[in-house]
Amino acid sequence: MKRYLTGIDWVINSMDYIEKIQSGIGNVSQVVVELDGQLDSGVLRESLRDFLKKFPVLYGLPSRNINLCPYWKVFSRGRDAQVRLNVAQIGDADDPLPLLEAEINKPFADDRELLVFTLVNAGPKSFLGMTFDHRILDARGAETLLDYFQRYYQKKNIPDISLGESPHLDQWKEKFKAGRQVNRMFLGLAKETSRSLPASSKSRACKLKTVHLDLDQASLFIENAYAKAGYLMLMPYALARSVQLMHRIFEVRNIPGRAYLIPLSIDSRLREASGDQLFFNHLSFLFFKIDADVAGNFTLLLASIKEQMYAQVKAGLPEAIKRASFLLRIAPLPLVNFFLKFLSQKNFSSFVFSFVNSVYNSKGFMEQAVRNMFHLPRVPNPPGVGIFFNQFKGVLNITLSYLEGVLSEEEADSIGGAFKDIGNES
Amino acid sequence: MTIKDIEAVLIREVASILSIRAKEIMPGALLHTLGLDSMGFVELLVFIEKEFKIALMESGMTKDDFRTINSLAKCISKAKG
Repeated sequence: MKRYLTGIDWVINSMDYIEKIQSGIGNVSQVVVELDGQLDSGVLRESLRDFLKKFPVLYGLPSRNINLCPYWKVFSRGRDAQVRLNVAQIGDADDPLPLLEAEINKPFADDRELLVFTLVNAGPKSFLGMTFDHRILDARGAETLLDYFQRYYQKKNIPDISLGESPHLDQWKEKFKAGRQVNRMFLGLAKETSRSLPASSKSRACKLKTVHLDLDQASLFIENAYAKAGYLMLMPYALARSVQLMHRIFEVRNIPGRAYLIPLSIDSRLREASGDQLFFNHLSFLFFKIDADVAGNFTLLLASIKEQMYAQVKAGLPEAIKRASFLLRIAPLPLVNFFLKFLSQKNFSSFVFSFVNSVYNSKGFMEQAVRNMFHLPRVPNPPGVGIFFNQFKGVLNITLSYLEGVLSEEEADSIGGAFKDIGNES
Repeated sequence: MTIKDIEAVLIREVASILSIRAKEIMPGALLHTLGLDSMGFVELLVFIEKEFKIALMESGMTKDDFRTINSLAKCISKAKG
């Protein structure tokens, strides 16, 4: 069985390849469910095993077809559905983050392991982390998989999962036109070297800081966003706040360069994830270039972000990136690696950013109430720093992910602290 | 075009952005309660600019004008004269 990979899937596979060369760990992330009670690890393990064995796609590898189109080769036999579940116990007041963080710093057991679960029991609460390989799931896909698991656990129907994807070996004229548009954009962005933090050559450990804004703090944050950036402009406001905080670090360190470049991944699937959009990557990108002079003035910064967002959506850039990325599929991963390394020598990005609205719709998880759901992505190198927002049932979570040495502990704490203060700003 | 006609066009577009049925959308509902986020909202503004040939950012609309399909339709109608 095979599933053809899209251009975006191939970009994600390339990032995984590069990350494995650099750190031995692939392009991974973790979604965490915070529960108002403890789970029975035996029941959880059995239920997960029973559920996941329905998806042989979780036991696959990238391969290349005779028509040169890359595809995901699914092994229908050859491996039993084993589920790795690590269980830990901590005190009520202990922070589960170090245990969860450790999981995104460990390589998978082998090429075919794509999911690992971690259950941390903390007194009356528990945290279930699902570490996943980005080649098979994106952030929304990971939440949807957990949602489907819950529906399955409750013996409710889950949508049919179809892996149908055409090889996309047609409409070359459109793909080349999109390629020209994207190329022009990259040339414009690469005219001057962007500001970026020096990467650490010693350690590849990824560190995390999380900030959780409760319902009241999140409402205040959203009110501020609507008042300052405009109705529904939450994402541009969150990005502007992130640029503002990173700008302080760059200024103190006297980092050279005249502008910041921030790639932002956006979801490109329809609101309700359907079965055929559960696995693989359904996203595209926007790119923001912020002059360092503008970054210090919040009003100008916000206006610049909104203007660029509007212009890129109007020009159809996210769709053009998706189309143009099909052209990359012909290149083997080492060649894409070479190309991306060339871009990284130009300090191509300052930090990465994303904003995910939760798609976990179930009321609870295995009979426990869900308090929160948040994401702990391992940030790619370069740039080695990322700020990731997600919104879950009115709560706002912010994760700062950085490679050890790229930010100091004090700098990371200052960003985390500043986000907490923003949550209380009236 | 009447305000009702403009509302119908906007409802079709919002339904397409959100992948929901047009019937589920009430013209008076606040857009965020329908599930529209920043990206979806910008897509809607770009659609309005292209479809109705008006630049919303320069049309003097207030924040409240953007909140519902009904208020947007009234503003578009006014801007079109």
